[in-house]
Amino acid sequence: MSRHTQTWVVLILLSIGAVVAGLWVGDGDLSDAEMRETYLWLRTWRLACAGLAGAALATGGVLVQGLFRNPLASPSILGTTAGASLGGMVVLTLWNVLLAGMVPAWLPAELILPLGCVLGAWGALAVLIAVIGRQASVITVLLTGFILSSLFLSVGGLLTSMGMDDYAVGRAIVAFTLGGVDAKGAHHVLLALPLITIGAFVSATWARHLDALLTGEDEARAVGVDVAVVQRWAIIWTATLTGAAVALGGNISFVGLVVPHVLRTFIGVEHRRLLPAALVGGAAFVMWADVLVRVVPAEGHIPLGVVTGLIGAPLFLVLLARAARQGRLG
Amino acid sequence: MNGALTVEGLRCRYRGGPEVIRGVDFSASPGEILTLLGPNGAGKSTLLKAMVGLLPCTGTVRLGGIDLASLSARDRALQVAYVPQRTRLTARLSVRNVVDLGRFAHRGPWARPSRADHAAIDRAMDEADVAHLAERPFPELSGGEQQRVLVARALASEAPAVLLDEPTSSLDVRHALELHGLLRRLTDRGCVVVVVLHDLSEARHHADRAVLLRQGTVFAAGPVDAVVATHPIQQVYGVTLIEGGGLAYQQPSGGDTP
Repeated sequence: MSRHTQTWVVLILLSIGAVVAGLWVGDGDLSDAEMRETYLWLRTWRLACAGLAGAALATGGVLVQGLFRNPLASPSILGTTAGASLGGMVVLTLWNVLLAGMVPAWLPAELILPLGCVLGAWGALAVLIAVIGRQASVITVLLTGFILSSLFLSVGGLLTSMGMDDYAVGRAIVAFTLGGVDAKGAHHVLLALPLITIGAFVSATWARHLDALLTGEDEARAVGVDVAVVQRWAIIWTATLTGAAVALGGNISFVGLVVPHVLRTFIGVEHRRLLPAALVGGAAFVMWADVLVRVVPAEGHIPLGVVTGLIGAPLFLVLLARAARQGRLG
Repeated sequence: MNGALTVEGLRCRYRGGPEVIRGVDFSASPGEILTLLGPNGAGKSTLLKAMVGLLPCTGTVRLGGIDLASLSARDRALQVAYVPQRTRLTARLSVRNVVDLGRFAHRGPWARPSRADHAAIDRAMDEADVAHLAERPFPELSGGEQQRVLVARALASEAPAVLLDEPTSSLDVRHALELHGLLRRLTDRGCVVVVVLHDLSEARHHADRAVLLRQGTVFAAGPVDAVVATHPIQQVYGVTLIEGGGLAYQQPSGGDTP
């Protein structure tokens, strides 16, 4: 069995295991015949949110890492993750005002926060594009994204400190910031699913373009890649994927960085293999992380973003150390 | 579209910098190897990049009468293949994957490699003597092996014009000779070959015609024996050409350099 096939077998087993565990584990006793269906229903949506968020973040990670020719890039590098997060914080801060008549009656209340996140990501993207112009170099995009990220995080910090005046708002903002897919349902999935499906599909069409970009922009152009078009749309879809992921689970850290990085060591750098593997691997990673959220004993729940960070950061350090020992960090 | 490659009034500059190519005209016919010569900084590599459309420029570059600037990146790649002096590829793509990039313009985003794609890739790797390296990660190869893989990628494109920037600079003597043989076979098939060379002796042995650049302009153009001759070389390089069994140069102050 080739290494590629072995990796896929592991990914599929991990995904199936995560789905079974995700349905099995959690608050509520499945032996309670009266409530079993309700528990399973709630856990199904929770699993779907975790899986979709992970898939979106890992796909976004592959896109930016290919675009910037840097395996250490993360989707948050564009500033759109911080923008999505800020969008969510703005919604939470203005929650009472929004519910008092600023949003149309047909819009379910549970969709206001995820919509705020998606709009925040797109708003950040609009600012990014406005600042960098049409012919920006990759380094300009990178620096602008970094600055915007810092700016949005600072504004988010300001909102958090202002929100602390109201206990409920402050608590909601902190919980959102730390990430989680509890209390998420069909509305969230229906909002994010089309964005993530189209994003994943479009990304898959760029597999060879991203392979060519590994050789640098000039060589990619010389073999026939319209580099400006690929860069523009990769940035737009990364923003959309991360916006959708934040809408589903708040800040879930390290997925977009670690999952593609780990998979690259097993499956290689070819994007036609890496993109689908990241989609499935990202989903499995966040679903398992959410299972851990449910089983680790704690006062209340450990936030999902904390779990992904606690797993992702050490794992990433191990990979970095191994790469350094093998002299692959340059 | 096997026709002549014609460059007319080409001018270009790097962003914010002075003009590097300052009005260049020449043409290369199918079936001939044309070499671009000139000292460091004369604009040879820049000219090659401008011809492939990698730098904004004014003037025209036509192949078989068609303005290459009017073509999309994909259509242009079908007409002109480019071998850079060095690549920025550090990712662990296999050699076969790198050569396969030469077929990028031949198929759509979802299409699997066709029989013709596989045949072109196999042929290109054989011709560039990299078939035995097919599954090796590109960054693990030596400089010369990498250079041959880049040549194979250009061959895999089956473009009627091939532009190469100092392709023999990292090659050993045997592979350099084999590459020149390969370029000759390409011209025998009716391709246009434009190659930047540093070694005047190599140019005289393997090229048909030469364009000698000085400070972004054409100083001399014509049959290679006429261009690599005492007067133009002295004017452009500031050295005296000594004709013998091969070529040797003498600096104005004396001292031979073989």
